[in-house]
Amino acid sequence: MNMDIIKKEIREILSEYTDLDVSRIGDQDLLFDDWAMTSVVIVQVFVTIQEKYGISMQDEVNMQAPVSIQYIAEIVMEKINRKEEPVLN
Amino acid sequence: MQTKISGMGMYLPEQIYTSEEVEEKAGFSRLGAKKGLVRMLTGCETRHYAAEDEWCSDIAAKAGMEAIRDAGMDPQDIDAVIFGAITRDFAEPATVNRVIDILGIKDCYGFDIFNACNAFIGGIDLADSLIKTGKAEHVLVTCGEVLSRWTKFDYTDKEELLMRAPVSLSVGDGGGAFVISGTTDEDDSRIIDTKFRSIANLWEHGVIWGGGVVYPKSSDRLFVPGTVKALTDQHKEVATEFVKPMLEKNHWSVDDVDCFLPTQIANWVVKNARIALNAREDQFYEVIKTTGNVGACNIALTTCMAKEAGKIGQGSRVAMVGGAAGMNIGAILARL
Repeated sequence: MNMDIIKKEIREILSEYTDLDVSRIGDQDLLFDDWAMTSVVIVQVFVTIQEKYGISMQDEVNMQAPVSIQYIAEIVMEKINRKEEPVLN
Repeated sequence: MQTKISGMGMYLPEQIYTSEEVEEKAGFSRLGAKKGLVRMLTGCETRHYAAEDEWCSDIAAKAGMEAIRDAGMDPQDIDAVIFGAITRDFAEPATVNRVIDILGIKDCYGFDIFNACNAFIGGIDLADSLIKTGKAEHVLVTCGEVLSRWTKFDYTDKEELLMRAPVSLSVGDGGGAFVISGTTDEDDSRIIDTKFRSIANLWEHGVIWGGGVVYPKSSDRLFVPGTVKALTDQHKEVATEFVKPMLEKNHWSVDDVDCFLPTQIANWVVKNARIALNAREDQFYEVIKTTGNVGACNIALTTCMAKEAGKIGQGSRVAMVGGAAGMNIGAILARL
């Protein structure tokens, strides 16, 4: 799983909850400040990400964070990697 | 004359609902909305709902009795009762009257205070003033919220559901009470300071429009709106520009506070306020996961549950911090 694939999948998820053309949204664009997205859009995205990747996004919810596609992708990548870390006995 | 919290008590109704259950009741599946939003946005997993025959006064009286017992007192020792909540039994008379009647207090007076989620701490401040001016010796400040009956479940529009429900469905019911008493200079337990402010240009945010003269006959406007962004946007400023100066004025560092007891609308709001204060995670106690947002009762419940969990006790330095629709901010520093 690489970052490009994760970002592409996050855009697809985002497109389910907004009428905006997600292809116009830059990776670093702030979804709240630059694109006036509401908290309910982001929360739906986070819930969908949880279900899709089998990770918890609960601790990452913060409606004042600089949420961008890049920001979300980095969280997802870090959690997937942590999930896949072998347990050493 | 100083005052102190001489007793505290709480009551949670028996029925418990999960966030998924209330989402289903509000029509998430029916309207094709994704479930899991209430928990994700607020951190609330369960909440208690009052029984059909439970009124605000019943809940407040139960919590009040617990507080009186905790203070080692009899109801007849109470000479003033203040009921502070968002919800109430009816428009008139003041709900406190039924609370006093249930408790069987023969010689006291009482009144209600309303200030959204800050009603309870406002009641503490008033009790402090009553005692310091010699008008009372022991004041019971009690809250009984039945927010479940002011929760909208009959959504027919998905857009409205998504705008309101993730916040509004996180509310729950419950009761909390403190006995406030006079104390001597020799007693370490005391209410150290209280501070309140109104930011009234934000009054239009989070309005429950029903129940007043603007829409006198519209019971369909009597519901928690769930639109609180303008209020939650203030939480970092509340921490840095209101709470910190108050601590400094009273020669408390942030580290000196054993436990911050905030009103709770969402766990990310509390987390941001904690970071803004430069406080540690273990200095905060949160209950929204199991009780939901219980309005004016949040701080009373958080304090009682923190005590039950052993987080605070005799001698603990606590900072109760409230933010409410209006907008209103309030904080109380106390040593238990």
